[in-house]
Amino acid sequence: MKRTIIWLLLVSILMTGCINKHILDDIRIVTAVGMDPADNGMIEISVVVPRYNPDKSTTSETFTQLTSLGRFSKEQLSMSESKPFVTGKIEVISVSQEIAQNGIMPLTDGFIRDPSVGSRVFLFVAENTANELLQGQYSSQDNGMFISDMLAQNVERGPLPNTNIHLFFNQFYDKGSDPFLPLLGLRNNKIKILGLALLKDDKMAGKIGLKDLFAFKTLQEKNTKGDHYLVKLDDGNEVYLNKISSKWKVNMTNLETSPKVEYDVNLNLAIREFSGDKLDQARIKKIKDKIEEQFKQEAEEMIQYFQELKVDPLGIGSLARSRLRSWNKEKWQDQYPNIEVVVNSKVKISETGIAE
Amino acid sequence: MKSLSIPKENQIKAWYLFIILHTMQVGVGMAGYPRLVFMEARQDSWIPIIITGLILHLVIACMVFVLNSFEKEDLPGILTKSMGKYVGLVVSSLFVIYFLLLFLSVIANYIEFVQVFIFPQMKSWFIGLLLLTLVWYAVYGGIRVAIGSSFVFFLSSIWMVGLLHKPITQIDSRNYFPMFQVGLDEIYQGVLISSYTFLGFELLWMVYPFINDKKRVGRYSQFAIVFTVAMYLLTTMVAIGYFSPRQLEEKVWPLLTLFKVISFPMFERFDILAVALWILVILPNLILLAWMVSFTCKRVHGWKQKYCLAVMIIFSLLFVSIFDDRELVNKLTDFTGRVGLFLGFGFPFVLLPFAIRQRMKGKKKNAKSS
Repeated sequence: MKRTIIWLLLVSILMTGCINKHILDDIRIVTAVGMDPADNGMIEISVVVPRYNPDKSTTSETFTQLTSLGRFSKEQLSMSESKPFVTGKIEVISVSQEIAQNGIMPLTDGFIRDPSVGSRVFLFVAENTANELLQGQYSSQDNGMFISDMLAQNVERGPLPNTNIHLFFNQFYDKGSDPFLPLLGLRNNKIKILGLALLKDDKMAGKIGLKDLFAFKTLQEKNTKGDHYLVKLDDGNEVYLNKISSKWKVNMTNLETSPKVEYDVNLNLAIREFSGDKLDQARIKKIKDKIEEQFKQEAEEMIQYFQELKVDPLGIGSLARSRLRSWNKEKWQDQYPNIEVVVNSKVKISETGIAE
Repeated sequence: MKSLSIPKENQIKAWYLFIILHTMQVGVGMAGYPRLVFMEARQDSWIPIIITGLILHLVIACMVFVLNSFEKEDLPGILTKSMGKYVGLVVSSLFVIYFLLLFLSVIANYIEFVQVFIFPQMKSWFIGLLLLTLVWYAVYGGIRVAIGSSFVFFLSSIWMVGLLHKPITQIDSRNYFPMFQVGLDEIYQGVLISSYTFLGFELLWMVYPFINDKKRVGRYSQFAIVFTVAMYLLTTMVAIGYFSPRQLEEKVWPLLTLFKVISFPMFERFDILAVALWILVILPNLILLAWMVSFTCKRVHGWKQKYCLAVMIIFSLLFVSIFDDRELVNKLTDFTGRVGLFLGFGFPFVLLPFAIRQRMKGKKKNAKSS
């Protein structure tokens, strides 16, 4: 009996060699996928695959394919290739603005159903076509990795709010908020973040530019840090500030009848550059007041714009839902455009650098 | 049926119960559980979990009471003693089938994981063979090897709780509010749903005679329940906070999807490894269940345990290779859960009157002899 068991164990161990393996040199690792509209309702899928050159540099190879469903089909792509495509390392998924405006939900199902696609994948909207964005050569990395690193570092310490495919679906399925995606485009042959695309359900309804990102990130996330802010004082001087941290509290009144939403934002900033000559207490006080005023105006205008578009990327609806037992989506959507939203901010300038 | 007399070297300490009952309860059901309970009780899912936990404490207390009344008996022994030879035989056989169902549902569910997440082309019989060989090896060595291996697997998988750290940082607390919105009916449904996931404590019926210090059985089995409930509470609440409500409903295995957010510099897609590591959570279940099936079989019918084991393993292998679509696996799981509601949760209370009668008898005897 013992011998049988030893045999069985031996066979099991040896048989583990029989599973299908993926040797790196023999597969094409897809790092980016782009989707563009084509004729007759077809979708053009572009995939980026890194090619590791003998001189240790990496270039991107782009393959395109036409599909009817918009599903990225690795099998179909592989048909005209000598090596199979694998999806385990997709870093970014890009859809063109036109597709985003028509609804991106039918196109992304494959990516959440496929267990080999991670939830930290970046989904973004390309200003013109995704193909054009993915074709360029931007650095010594392949484009998938490059765009992913670029977005990641801008989320980490730049103006971009936290975003990935998991958060996108999180907001999409949340009854009280609408999703947003980074909007990228080409400027002087460089890929650049242009702002955010705002979506209503799964259709792109509008966008905000770079100048609104500061207010957006501050209000979208409970605690943020690392961003910059530029104010022009009344006397013509300019101040460039770093955000050390920010947090907010929200006050909601009259949720049943005519809701009023009041954000209290605490901003902790540090002065990095000042175009004037001397920074004394009076000046700093002036700068503080100016920022408070400017931030309030920017934030409120931005929210009004959201209300006109009837999109809720800040998740005000979710905030209301967690406060009101009888909350329902239809009623909230009727109320939303007319809600009074007030943003109060309190600025603390904690540092002025090492010069006076 | 003869009572068991376990030689000293085959006995185990009571505190092992903490580990083995806990590992039995935490298993394949855990990966999908947060979604199932959420679909019933929404953001108030913690209420049914805690209620299920309280019920479990009661069930365990009842089991320990029954077992203590019969002193050195295990389940088949108690059944024949209290219900007579034939009824006892039938009911014990029912339990054998029930343990087998549990075993099959665990192995079928794990094979499904592996096929969905890592190796879609791998044949069910092949994964089954790999798992069952290990199970055979562990059970063949007897109860001490079975329990010892469970202990090792417990230690090598418990650290995975730490992996929840990353999803916890991304929790949106809005998802927990407003509280107390759930109705009685939903709580009831949530408790029912929880039943399958919390099953496995039936092991106590079989392992009791092997325990060295029987006075501490109650204490350590209750500890095991506390730990299990805490574990389920934690994973469910993290899943509810991390996913938005409808998103959670879409995830078949929220716990495994949670791991998708984890990434290490040298290990980018940790979720793939997590599914593979899940084998460490599953194996103790399989080993202990296989021991239960074969040992109960031996007790009831007097057959040799190794033949029971061989038949069972071959049967399981055939079963997983023939029935391998998800629909069927789900049906099996549901059915097992429903059976478990009666045989696992309900049955101890059926035995309660018999245990009381046994105690009265014992007292009379004592009174006479003194």
